[in-house]
Amino acid sequence: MKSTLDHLLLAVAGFLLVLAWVAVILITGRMYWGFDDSLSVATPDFSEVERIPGARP
Amino acid sequence: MTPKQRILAAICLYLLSICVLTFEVSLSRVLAATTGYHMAFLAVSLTIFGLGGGGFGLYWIRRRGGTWAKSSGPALLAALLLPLSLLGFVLASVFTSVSQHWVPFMLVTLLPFFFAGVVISHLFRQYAQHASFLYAFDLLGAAMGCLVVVLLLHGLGGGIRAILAAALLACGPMLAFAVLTEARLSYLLAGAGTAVLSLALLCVSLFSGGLDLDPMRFSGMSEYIALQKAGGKNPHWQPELSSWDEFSRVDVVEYLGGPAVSKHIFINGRTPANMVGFSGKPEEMSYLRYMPGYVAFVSGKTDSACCIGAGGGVDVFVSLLGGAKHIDAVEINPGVVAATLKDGVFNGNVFAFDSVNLYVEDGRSFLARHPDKRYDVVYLALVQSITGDFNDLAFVEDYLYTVEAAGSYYEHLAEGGRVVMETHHERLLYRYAATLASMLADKGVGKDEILNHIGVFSFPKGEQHTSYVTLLFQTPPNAAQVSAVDEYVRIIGGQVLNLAGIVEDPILSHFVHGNGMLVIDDVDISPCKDDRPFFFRHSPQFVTMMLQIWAGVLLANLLLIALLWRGRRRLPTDGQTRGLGMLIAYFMLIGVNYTLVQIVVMQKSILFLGYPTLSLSVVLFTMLLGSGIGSYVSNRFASTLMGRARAVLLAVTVLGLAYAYGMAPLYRMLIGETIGIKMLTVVVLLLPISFLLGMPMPLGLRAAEKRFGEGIPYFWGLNGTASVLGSVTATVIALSRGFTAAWLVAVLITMILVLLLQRRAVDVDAE
Repeated sequence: MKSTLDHLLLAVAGFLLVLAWVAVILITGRMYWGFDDSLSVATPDFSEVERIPGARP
Repeated sequence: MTPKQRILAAICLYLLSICVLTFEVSLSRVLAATTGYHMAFLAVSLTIFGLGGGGFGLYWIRRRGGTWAKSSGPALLAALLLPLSLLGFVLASVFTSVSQHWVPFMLVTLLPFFFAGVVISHLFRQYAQHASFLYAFDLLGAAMGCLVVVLLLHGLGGGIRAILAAALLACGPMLAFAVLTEARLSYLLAGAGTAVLSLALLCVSLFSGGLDLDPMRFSGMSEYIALQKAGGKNPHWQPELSSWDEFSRVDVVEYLGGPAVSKHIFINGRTPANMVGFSGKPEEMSYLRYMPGYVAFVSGKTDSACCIGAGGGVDVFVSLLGGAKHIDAVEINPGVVAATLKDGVFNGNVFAFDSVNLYVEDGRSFLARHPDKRYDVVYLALVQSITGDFNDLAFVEDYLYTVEAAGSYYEHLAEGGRVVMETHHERLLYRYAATLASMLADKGVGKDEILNHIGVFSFPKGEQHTSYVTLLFQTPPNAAQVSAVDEYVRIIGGQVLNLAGIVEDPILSHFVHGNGMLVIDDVDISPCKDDRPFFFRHSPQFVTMMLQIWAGVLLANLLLIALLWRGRRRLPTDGQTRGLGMLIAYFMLIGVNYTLVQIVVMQKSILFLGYPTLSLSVVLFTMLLGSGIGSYVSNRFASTLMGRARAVLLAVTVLGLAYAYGMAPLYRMLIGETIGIKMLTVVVLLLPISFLLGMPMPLGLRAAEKRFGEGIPYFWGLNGTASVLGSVTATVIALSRGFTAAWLVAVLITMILVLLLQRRAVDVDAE
């Protein structure tokens, strides 16, 4: 009985822990990979900008 | 002990640990924003002393005798005072200035830890025979606390609110403890009242925006705002946007004093990343051609560029002006990226340009994951955002400036490509140039050829401010390229310090033909390697400061041991002190050892995983979970407990030696894999050693209970204060000899423990 209760309590604590970990990984993951990159803007033509004299590619 | 008591004690410890960790992590966030990272590190270390102090306090109170002292009275009082002290901390931090009242503030900070320490050590004293079971829940609670605090910061926004939530959480173990000890009804009512008060204050903070920190107190940023408010010499700063994310405080401040309007993104009030305004007309950005890093774009092909530490997008504009058609922008700090994306109207949506690919991760990790990418220019301009300043805890960006990092950039260069690095410090300029020289030597470039690959320039800006640039050429530049670079540097008012065929820098020349050491003004600025990546920490004062802290912490530990030793005769039940010295050494060394292992693994995993916050979550979770299970399993050992501990520590020694030489090659082999595989690798690698490391503490407590039961709160406290010693020891050794050396010291400590137990285990195990 004592042992069963112990195991049960450990299992509940472990389950909650794994659940919280998954939630944190998802939150952290969203920070790194969850940015909205659907917006796409044509790159302006910077070649029109005069280069500093002497600084030729 | 009845099953009900066992369960209540376990729940109480579990909730207490969650509460303590929630407070500890929130505290580090609050202090990082208000006083800087280095003070946060110091403060959090000191507060762990508070936890150990609770153990010492309880030991002292019980020794003074009396029914109340011997019963659960002191712990009941401490359990009630814990949430109240947390509320006291919130009020102190909101209504007083941390930096102006440092000492009283630290005392207020110590109190919650002290009270928690009293309750936890009381539970271990009272139920020592069940230490394996209880310690498992203590560790699982600590693991849960590391995660709960992230969820709280995410859900509530702001370190102060998370601390208010911790006060509310602390009412849980208090009530569980009251039921466990069959406390009077008045106590339960007081607990319920504290819970209502905590909830009310949390609601006030959440719904009215009150009870929060004043941004004026944030270090770094506050200087600019204060100057502005005072009509001082820098009246151009205008705070615009402030927010907390799960890991830091982000402030965007508009700057009106430059050639164009720009904004600065402060992380925890320090070292801003720049964001420049762009309305869509390319010519309005022409002033950026005078940025020193542009020198990489004036010769050779410029089609593709990789901006490491892309920050607010300035480097992307410089690359576009330089002619780049494809740009990979890599930024490790999601807070900076979010702020830049949010202000797309201001910056012209720079990260959404169709020629720009944005990656939010560590630069090293990004390049390792893309071994086939080649660039004409790899651009590192003042990459220092997440570290805040030179003296903090996160050594992440130091990994960008090691010999191995330089090798990675070199391998990612297209034919004739360049790596450009910009800094504001002359010593760092030379340190980086020497790093490039070492890398080239490792690649087999002859000594006489090395400096032909490296360009070094200084660009004075005003009287006190100078930018320095180092340029690495994949192949030595031809005469036309040299001429273009030289002309550009002269046009923008710079000076060439080293360039093939023009001038050779004597310091670098001496380094290349010397013994691999570079010392300027008695300061060692030799190249850094991944094992000792402290690129920015060249100051001897920093090392001296860490040594002083280490000596102070060691002295405090020795003092506590001396105090116990004075009254040693009264401690054992049989009047025999045999085995006491061994137990003191045992609890101290396992405390030092655990933290040493944790810190080294965390550091090595930061580079491997590529995301510092993720590394922290994965390593802490795995180690605490593994140790919790280990502690639980150690319940199976019923006799000769210290003998069992010796066997466990012997296994730790063997594993430790295997990790010392196997972990780095394994990480190198798998660094290019997906993040899922890398996380799994860390979990699988750490679980076995964490499992074993969870056993010595409960086995020791159970063994001590037979003759030294009264000393258990003391042993528990000593283990806590020794863990502070472990964290400072790890930093000191890593600074002077590297992380592998710190790991080997941890292995040495387990060896000493094994030898100690070999000779002395019988003193405690004998019936």
